[in-house]
Order: sequence, then structure tokens, then C-alpha cells
Amino acid sequence: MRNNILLFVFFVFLQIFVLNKILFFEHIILSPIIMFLILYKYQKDSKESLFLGFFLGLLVDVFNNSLGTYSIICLIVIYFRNSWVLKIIGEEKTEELELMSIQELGSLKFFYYSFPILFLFYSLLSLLESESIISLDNIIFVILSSVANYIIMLIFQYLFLKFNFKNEWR
Amino acid sequence: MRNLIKFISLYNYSITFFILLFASSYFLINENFILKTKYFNSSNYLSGSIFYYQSSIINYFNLEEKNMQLERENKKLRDKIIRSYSSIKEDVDSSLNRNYNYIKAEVLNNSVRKSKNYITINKGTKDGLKEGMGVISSKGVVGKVKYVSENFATVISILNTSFYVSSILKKTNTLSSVNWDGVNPKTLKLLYVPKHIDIRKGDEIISSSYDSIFPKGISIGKIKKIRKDVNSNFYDIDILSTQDFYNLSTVYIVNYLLVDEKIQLEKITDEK
Repeated sequence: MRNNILLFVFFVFLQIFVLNKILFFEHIILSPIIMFLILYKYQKDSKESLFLGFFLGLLVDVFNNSLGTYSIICLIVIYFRNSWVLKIIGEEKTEELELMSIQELGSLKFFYYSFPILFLFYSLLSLLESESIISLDNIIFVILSSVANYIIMLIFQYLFLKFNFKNEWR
Repeated sequence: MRNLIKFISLYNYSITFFILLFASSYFLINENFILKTKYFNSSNYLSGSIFYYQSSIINYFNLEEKNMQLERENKKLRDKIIRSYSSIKEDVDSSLNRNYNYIKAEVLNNSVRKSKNYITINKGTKDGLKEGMGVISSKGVVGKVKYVSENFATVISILNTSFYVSSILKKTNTLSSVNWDGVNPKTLKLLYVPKHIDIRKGDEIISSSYDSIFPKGISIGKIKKIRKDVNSNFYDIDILSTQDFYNLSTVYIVNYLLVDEKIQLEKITDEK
């Protein structure tokens, strides 16, 4: 568990101090915090998850000079996630899962579950940061960032979660 | 009362969501207000210090590119000196530009994706910075100092939809204004150029010095696209910014030494 907390803190710092400042290929922003919002354990009507989203976003906002932007995005994303996951997997099975990861859901279901959330996250980011979403630049940004983050999320899960599954998460 | 408690306990999840949504919306709407408060300057100190160490690491990896940029800058300055010996006009211009001081600063934080972008730099009041000073780089106009703390300052970038730069068309000396429309960080808008002016793609836009922020002649961009709107007396012009905001590391703060005298005089003239 301690390793997971350290990993979480490391990725939050990575997002705040490094990744938020780099625009890869002028169109891609990598956001590890969305990974945690996606993988976070589902609990029915969990207020903790809402607070987690809100304060995680607020933390990023404080260092990003964008007060309100990330907190509103993370909050909406986690609220959407909590209802979206029920549609994709169903309530009974969802509550049994320790993590909403690819190992637990399988490749296809994980894609159906996570990609719309990533898409929503970057659409909202684009809308709130540049005040317009219907420009070619912003559409490319949303698509490329969602795809890049999806790939990073898969790599992360294969690298870090497999081991943890056997030892800690189960 | 019992019904109210029942209602709250039944919908406490949604109620929590809406309360937090309201709180974050409040932050978002009042962001500009909060930026103006003193809180910003103190948080600037904390984030500025962290950005300082972060940019030191990133700058180390950019040394090669930075060296090349400095070489280009040196060459440009040498050329300027040679030209100033041979041209009387250049002498007049350079004597005017002697009224400006430049303070070198490193960029600690820079954003390009927002509609209102800001830059954090590593110089503050103790280095002589004041609000409203112009910020340029070796390539062209960057922005204007917005807030200053003791060691750091935030700069309102030219990539900020609420910032306008007084400019002139170098070829015709036509006064105009440059603003960013919030779409493409490499493209700016050139405003108020009347349709009777002869302009071409590639014409250079430079700062005018009318706003007492930038010296005359600092490059802003080159005309990229010209459109004629039948309902307007002005061209709709896109310009390609000379400044690459994706790679901004060193900037110069422009200190116009006679600004107070100029403003004072203009104020007296307006009053009378």
C-alpha cells in the first residue's frame, strides 16, 4: 500500500512540475492524474471519490495558475466515471473490483470504459483553457492527447500493477 | 424537518457533487480576481521557487539550442552596430532607443494553451522590475509585466486575448494593433489596417513605441494571410509571430527611463 501512495505522489508531482509545462509535438499533454481517476476503486455513491477528484484538481490548479479549471474537470470526470462504469460493467460486478484496471476488466471493456473518460477530460480541458473546442487545433489536441494517455495508461498498468496485484491489491 | 433530513441523506452524493461543482465554478469565474490579490504574489514566491529549480534542470538540456540562439543574437547585434555607423537614420533611432534599459531574465514557467497565458520570470522588484514594463526576447515582443513580487514576476503574454500591442507596418509606417484571438499560438491578428493601404504577404510588423512599453522597431511578426471583409473598412489580417512561445527561455525586460515624464506630460495636456 505504501508503494502505491508513493507512486501516486510521484505522478502527481510529475504532472504538476513537468508534464503540465510540456506540450509534446505541440498537441499532446500527458496527464497522470486522469489515470488515477480512471483506476480508482468504484464504490456506490462514494463521496470520497468526489472529494479526491476535487482536491486532486485543486492541487494541480494551485501550481498551474489555473484556479478552478482542473478541480471542475476532475470533479465532472469522476462523477461521469461513477455512472459510466455501471453502464459498461454493471453494479454488482463493479463493486467486486478492487481497481478499474485492464487486468480486472479485460482489454475491450477497459477501452470502452476508459477512452470516453479520457475524451471527456481533454474536451473539458480544451474548452476551459482555450475557451473554444471547435477549432481544428483543439480537436487534434483532444484526440491525440486521449490516445497518448491511453497508451501511457496501458504501459503503466503492465509495468506497475501486475506485481501489486499478486501482493497487495488482492 | 424529518423529510428534509431524509432527502439530504438520500441524495447526499449528488448534493456533495453540486456543492463541490459550485465551489470549483466559483474559483474558475473569480480566477482573474484572485490573481489580482496579494495572495497571488505570495503564492508566486512558493511556485516561483519551485519553478526556478525545475527550469534549471530543463535549461541544462537546452544548452546547445540556447548557445545557438545567443550566437544568432550576437550576429544580429553586430550587424546593427555596423549599420548604425553607416546610416544617419539609424543613429537617430539608436539615440531614441538609448532611453531604454534592458534587464535579462529567465523564463521559469510559460503556458501557451490557455486563452489567457502568463509567463513567470526570475526577476522581481529587487532587480528593478515594475508593473507595466515591456518584455521582449531576441526574436521579438513577448508581453508585459503584470505582477511583481520581490524575486519573481508574472508577464501577461502576447498570447493572451486581452492584451493589445501598439504596432506599425514597417513598409508603410501605418499604425495598427496586434492581438491574439486564442486559436493558434503561432498566429496573431493585426487590427485596424485600413483597406486603402497597400500590404503584401510577408510584410513585417514591428512595435511602435506609442504605448511607452516597447522601443520602436521590435519585431512582432510577418503578414501570413490577408482577407477583405465587405462590411468593414479594415483588413482582416493574420500574422505569423516571430516569437516561438514553445521555446522561450531568456527574455529582456524593457525599462523605459522617460516613461514617468512622458505620462506626466500627456496627463497635463489632457487636463488642459
